[in-house]
Formats: sequence, structure tokens, C-alpha cells
Amino acid sequence: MNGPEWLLQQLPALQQAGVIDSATGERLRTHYASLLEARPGLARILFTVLGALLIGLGVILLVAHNWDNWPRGLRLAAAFAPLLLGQLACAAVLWRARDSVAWSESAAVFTAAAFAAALALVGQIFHFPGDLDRYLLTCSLAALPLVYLLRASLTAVICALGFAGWAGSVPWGGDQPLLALLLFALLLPHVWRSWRVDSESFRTTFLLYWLVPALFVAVLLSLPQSLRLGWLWFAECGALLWLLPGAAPGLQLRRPLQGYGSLAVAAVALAGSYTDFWQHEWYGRAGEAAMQQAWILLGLVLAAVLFLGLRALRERAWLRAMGAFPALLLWLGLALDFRDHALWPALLCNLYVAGLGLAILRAGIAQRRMRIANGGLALIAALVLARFFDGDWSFTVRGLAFIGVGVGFFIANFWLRRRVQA
Amino acid sequence: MNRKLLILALVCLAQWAVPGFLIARGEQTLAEGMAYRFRTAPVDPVDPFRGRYVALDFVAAQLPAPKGRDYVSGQRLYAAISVDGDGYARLLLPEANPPAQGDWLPVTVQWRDADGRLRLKLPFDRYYLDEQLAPEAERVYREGNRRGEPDARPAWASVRVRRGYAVLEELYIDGVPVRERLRAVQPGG
Repeated sequence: MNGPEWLLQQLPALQQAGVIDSATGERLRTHYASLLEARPGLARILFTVLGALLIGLGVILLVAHNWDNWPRGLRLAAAFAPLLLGQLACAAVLWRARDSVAWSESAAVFTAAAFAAALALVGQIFHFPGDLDRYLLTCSLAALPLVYLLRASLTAVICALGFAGWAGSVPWGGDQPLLALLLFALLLPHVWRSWRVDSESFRTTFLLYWLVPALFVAVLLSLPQSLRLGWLWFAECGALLWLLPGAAPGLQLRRPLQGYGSLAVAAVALAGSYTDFWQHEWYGRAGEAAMQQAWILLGLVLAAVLFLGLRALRERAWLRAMGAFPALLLWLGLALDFRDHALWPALLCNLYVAGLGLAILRAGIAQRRMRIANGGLALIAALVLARFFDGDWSFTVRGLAFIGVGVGFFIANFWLRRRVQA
Repeated sequence: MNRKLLILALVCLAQWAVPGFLIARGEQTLAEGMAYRFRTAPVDPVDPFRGRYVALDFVAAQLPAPKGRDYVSGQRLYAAISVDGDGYARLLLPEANPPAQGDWLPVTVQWRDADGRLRLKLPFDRYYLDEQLAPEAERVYREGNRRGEPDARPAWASVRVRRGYAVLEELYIDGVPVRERLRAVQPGG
């Protein structure tokens, strides 16, 4: 329940308790009731936008059928008519109903889909080759201005997915991680504006939920030898999100940046707790343009991680500063080559995960927040289970270990709940 | 408001200009380009956006390369077109620059196999067909070229080339346009 609705529900109790008089209560009721009526329901917006998206995708599928029997002119008209319709809808939104979120989002997403369909049909008529990368990039760039003209966040997400698709379908040898970053930078002003208006609004949360993983995947797919450099990118991204000022580790529905950061840092540290992880060949072939771009990108993010990490240390925010550890250890691995001494970094990672879990648990108890405390517990449990998978134990022993950890989790949770609520 | 509408008008123009330019270039190539026949074998796959097509595996996309030359996967090069005695097009060894004379195609190096043969990606690799006809085209081709009688029904694509830009005009199986052949083999065709 949001603020105004909660307040309206509380009014009778407040009046009864004598906190406000009846005249004030009535004025508040009138004020907030009119606000709630004027605000469009989220469900209505979602269904309208979903409808436009489905119709747009339907147009693409109809085009994909290949209407061989139709003359070329008719096929082109059939493909371009939805585009014209979408563009007219965009103009109408700007002209008349510019405050309607549902109309703005729907018109933009439908136009984006109609453009993709028109371009697909031209490709079909002239039998263009299967350059999916160019197709996705063209469609995304053509839709991008609509994001800003109509403040269309769903179209921004579709552009981001298009960029990620482009990065994934670039032919071998054409990887450009810096270009992938630049493409996502084109969406940044939209996110920033939404963040400035309300950093916890549905729009901002929705954008962050989609754009952050899309950016992560796009750069990952653009990295040459992404299997090797991917972990480094993963660790750096996680550290960066974890180290953002004001961030608290843990999974919070309305704070996707912190959630993604926590997951990434925990995942890299847990992966690093296996000795096999450090025995891989981490070094890439130098000299390739894509490799150079990758090092520039990873170096820049490392600089940001170091800057934020040092700031956290100066502020004595130890838990926040700990987020940088896996990324720094991976860089150290690149510099010193741990392949022949894989036990040490793996041991460090084990200690780190255990320490981090305990630190989060302690922070949760101190702040009396079960969600954070549970995060710490989950991390410790994950480490224990990882070690059981790592060892050469029988299924029976592993099964008993799972049960033991599960029971321990329940008991710890029960105990924690009492401590937090005490 | 007016400024936003003006920007929207420019965006709309750009959204029409992209496919418009592609249509104009395609039409001009079909009208004025030189026609070549490229030997091929059709296979039926699916494009998520553009639907069914027959993927074309061109004979000209593979050619022997001298041992001294270094080719890198993903490298973009230019290959001059020549015509064999049997009337089919073939590509000369790709170079870093287009030839000064004659038609050429921009190609991308895919790989070089153990025998030293170079595999190229051509700027045309598919022929779109109705979703029911595309698998049928592959079947007709395969039935006509069973083991023991290869090339009984040769397939080739007619490609128009103009200033390095190529448009696939028609796909033929045994000298007949693929749609006509499919109509002939279909019940009631």
C-alpha cells in the first residue's frame, strides 16, 4: 500500500485519538482522494502497454509468414502502414495527451515494433543476408529517440535488449566492448532523469531491473574470450554496485542495484573458493583491437572500484569496502599468475565469504533487519554447501550435510528473529 | 511542444529513410546490375524476425588459398567475380581493396580449413519463401540429388551485382525458378 492510501485509512483512527480534528481530516480526505483518482492505475498502464507490445510483435510475426502471393507494392504497404500508424500515435501523444504514461509508452513501443517489422519485410523482399547484429542495432537506434521524446521506459528496455542482442550476434572477431558501453550510455540520461524524479519509483526500479543485467550481458558478450574476462567483468560490476554510496548489501526489491551487486560479489567469491577457478588460463592474446578495448574498459571500471573502495575505507564503512575484494584478487591473479599456487587464493576466498557472511549477519542484527541478517546466513550456508560439493564425499554424507545446513538455518533464523525483535 | 513535434517529424523521416534507402538501392541493383549464376545447395532454416528462408551454401564461397597468405577470421575483404566455362560465377582470391575493374563482392573470412581452403561469407546467403514452401524447396532439391546421381538437379541463384552491392534475384532448381518448381510438384499444382 502506498502513502496516500495508507494515510486515508489511518484518518478515522487519528481523528478518534484526537491527533487531528474532523475538519482537518475532511480536508486531508478530499485532497488525497482527488490525487488518487487523478493518478492512473499501474495495472491500467501495464495492460495498455502490454497490448501495444503484443500487437507490435504480432505485426512482426505476420510479416515473418512471407506473403509470397501478394504483389510487392501491397506487401510494402502492409508493412509500412503500422509504422505510419505508430508515428501518428506518437504525434497525437505529443500534441494532445502528453501526460498519459499509458499512451506514451504504448505509442513508442508500437512504433518501435512497426519499424522492426518494416525493416524485416524489406530484408525479406530483397533477400538480405542474415546480419542479425546490424538489424538489431538499426532497430534499437531507430527507436532510441522515442525514449526521450515520449519518456518511454519500456522502449528504453527494448533498446537495451536490442543492444545486448547486437553484442551477442556480432560475427566472430568484431567484438567492441567500448561501443557496447557507449550504446548503453545513450540510455543513461533517461535513467538519470527518472532517478532524479524518484529513485524508488516503479519506473526507476523497472529500468534498473532490466538495464543493469542487459548492460552486463552486452559487455560480457562483447569481451573477447568472454569466458575468461567475464569473471573479472562480473566481479568489477558487482563491486561497483556494492560500493555505490548509500548502498547496503542485501536483496531489496526496490533497490535492484544493491541486489545485483550483492549477488555478483557473492557469486564471484563463491566461484573463487574452488581451486579449479584459479587454475584456468587467465591471460588473453594481446594485440587484438577488441582485447585492447577490453583492457581499457576493465581498467576504467577498476579505477572506479578503487576510488569508491578507498572512499569507503576513509568513511570506515568496512562492510561496503569489502565488496571490492574479489575484483582486486582477480586482478592480482592476472598480475602474479596463481595457476601453480591455486590453493592460496581459493583459501582467501573461503575466508572472505565466511567473513563477509558474518559481517552481514552482524550488520543485520545491529540494524534489527531480518532481511540483511538472512543474507549473511545464506552466504555462510552457500559456502558450507559449496565445500560439500567440492569434497569427495558420498551422496549419503552430502544428503546429511544438506539436511544439517537446512536445520541449522531454521534454528539460526528462529534465534535471530528473537534477537532482532528483542 | 512544437520543438518536440519537429524532432518527432525528423525521427519519422529517418525511420522511413532507412528502409527507403534499402529499397531504392535494391531496386536499382536489380534493374542495372550485372546478372551472375552462383551454384548452391539450399537448406531450410528460420529467422526469428523475417520468417522461413532457404539458406544457401554457395560453391563459390570456398576456394583454395595459397599457403603464404595469412587470413584472419572475421576479416573483411573484396573478391573479384569471374565466370567459368560452364557459365557459373566464381570468386578470385579476396584482397584488401576492391579491384579497379570488373564486378566484385565484399566478403568476410569465416575460416581456413586443414586443407588450406578458405571459407568466405558472401553478402547474400538466403532466399525467403513462404513458411510452407521453404522446407519443400529443400526436399525437392535433395530428392533430385540423391546419392549416386549428384547434380542431377543443380541449384543456382541468380544474383545482380552493381558497384559491389549484390541482390539475390531468383533461386533456380534444375533451371526452373523455385516457386514454379514447387507449384509443379504440389498437389493440384
